[in-house]
Amino acid sequence: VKRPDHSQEQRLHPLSWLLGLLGHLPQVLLTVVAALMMTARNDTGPWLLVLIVVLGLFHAIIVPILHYLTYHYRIEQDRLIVRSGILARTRREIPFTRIHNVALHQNLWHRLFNVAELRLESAAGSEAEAHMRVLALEQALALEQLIRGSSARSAPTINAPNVPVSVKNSATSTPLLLLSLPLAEQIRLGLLSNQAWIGLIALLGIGQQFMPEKIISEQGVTWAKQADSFFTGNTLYLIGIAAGLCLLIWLVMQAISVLLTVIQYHGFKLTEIDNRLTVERGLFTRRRSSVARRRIQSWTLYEGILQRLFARKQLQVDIASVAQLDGQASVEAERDVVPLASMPVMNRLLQHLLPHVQWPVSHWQSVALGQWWRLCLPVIPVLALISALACWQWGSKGMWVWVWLIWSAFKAREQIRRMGWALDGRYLIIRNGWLRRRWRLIELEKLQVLQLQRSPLDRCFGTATLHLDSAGAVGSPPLELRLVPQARAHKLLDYLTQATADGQRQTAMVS
Amino acid sequence: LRSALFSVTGNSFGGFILALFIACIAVGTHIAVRVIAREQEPAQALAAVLQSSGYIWLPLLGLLTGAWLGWRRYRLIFWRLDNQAFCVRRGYLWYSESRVPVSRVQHLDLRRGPLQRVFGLANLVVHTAGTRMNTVSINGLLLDTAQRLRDRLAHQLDCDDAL
Repeated sequence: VKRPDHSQEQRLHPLSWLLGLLGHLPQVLLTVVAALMMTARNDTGPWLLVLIVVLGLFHAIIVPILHYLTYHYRIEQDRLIVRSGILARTRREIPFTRIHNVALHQNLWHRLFNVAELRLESAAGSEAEAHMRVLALEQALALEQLIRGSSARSAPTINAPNVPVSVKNSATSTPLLLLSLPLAEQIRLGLLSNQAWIGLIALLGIGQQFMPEKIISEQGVTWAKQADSFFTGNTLYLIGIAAGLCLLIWLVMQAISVLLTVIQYHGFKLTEIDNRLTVERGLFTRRRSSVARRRIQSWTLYEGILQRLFARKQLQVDIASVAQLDGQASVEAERDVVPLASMPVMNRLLQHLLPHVQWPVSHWQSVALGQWWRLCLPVIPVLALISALACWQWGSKGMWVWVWLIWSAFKAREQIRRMGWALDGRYLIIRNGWLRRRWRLIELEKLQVLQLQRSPLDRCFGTATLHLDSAGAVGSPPLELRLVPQARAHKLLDYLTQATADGQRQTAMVS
Repeated sequence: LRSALFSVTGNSFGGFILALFIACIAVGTHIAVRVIAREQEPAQALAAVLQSSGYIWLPLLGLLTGAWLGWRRYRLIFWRLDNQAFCVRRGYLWYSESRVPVSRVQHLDLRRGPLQRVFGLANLVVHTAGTRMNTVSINGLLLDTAQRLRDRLAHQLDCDDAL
């Protein structure tokens, strides 16, 4: 048996164990504190504490050191070979062309020691192909550059076996800056985001876990009693105070959101090098992730109510490598390619990124407009339930709930007027929504499964629903076309099937 | 490649399983009613139900309904393979037509349960890289047909990645 040649193998950065330790530090401290609290309460003696501290230290120091000692990688012409594992050893070969997303991550500690964390993701779902913690910055950058260059070279010839290595760096062109976010835009983005609220809810959840319920309820009751004795008689005062408090909380939350967003999106840059899109951002923790343009599965343009208020839009992409665990997208892959841009800027960007599409689209195909009432059907059972409850409580006044149907009908009419699709060369564009507007752009070659469905209602009124499926659409809303007249739906299905198959054949011929 | 429309063979045991299920529910409900009404002990109730001829028609009806549903389902499943896509069409009231372009097939499974082994049938599952509808399966294919279909679909898997 020929022994594999390990001479060209490289290791992680020598300090990687220290950074691993630093990364684990908060967890270890938290465990120690929790253990302290537990021992203080239960009087079980110090042995539990000692055990936990020893385990924590083992986890924080020994494991990173072993990880450093056993992690080897080697760079070959067209692939990366990683040997790793403490007890169970694995050897993994990753062809550069199969890497969909390259993410470079640098937190404050990393920046202090001039190192970086590198994640390479392929289309295979749940975890990264290689997660290199940590490399020296120059090494990480060189590897990133290599992967970028090789995917750019092999883009037209997808499966050519002998990729010439001699053109290694000739293909790298100068990066083209597509978008950067000035501070004003970052603040707007912060106002649009609800990060602080999500954080608050999470904190409340944690707080409820840690604090015994009895204390909370007792405290609540005392406060309520105090407030009651204080405010008896002057309701106006009470309402004013409550409103003021709400306003104050809202303001503080918005401020925190803005602050968080500015920290996260500081120095945001969207650049294009060698047909790869690179997103770079962060004030303290710098993160950079880059994806080849041909690996982007679909594009989503979004405009919510607040976005419309600011005259801004948002552009997201789906990448096949986005982890599919629990239906949640992984954090590393950058989905918000353009978190915020004004309309002219966005139009220009789309025209640049998707040169085959005539954007903005002028020839929308509409759906069956007469079927608008079917959009308000789902609300009827809810209304029935609420009105039944209201009637039970307040008598016939409960019927006023049904007034909501007017609004619902109005909304449905507006919605159906905006639902539609357009075929433009190799792209299918779907738009929907009225208050929250979405435009989905998908290359026909990226479609995986096409399905036409008809419910009994569809059968009655001669319509059909088209479901389209692409890879990596985990966090995004389903790609579907509802209420299409039946004949046109069948025609569209046939056309899409044909186009998908043909497009694939063409790329196969090229390669 | 031919693009003829084939009919799927044999799939009415689904109906029988359903019938069994309905029959069990009927008998179970009967026993539960008796026991809750404190007329009889569970064992007694079971014996009584099995003996009394009045309740035999219920499982029978279930069996017939199930068989009819299974027959109907079998009549309404069609598949087609042409040089563009693999299509599965099913249902009448809840109609659906799925198409998987041949080049999008990632891998294929042939599954056979014990009952399917008895009848010489197989379940073909086509996997794609999609997110929500990443599998398209067709149940109750003749084993021979299923194998032929699998081989033909697998043959078209070139090494090109469709992502």
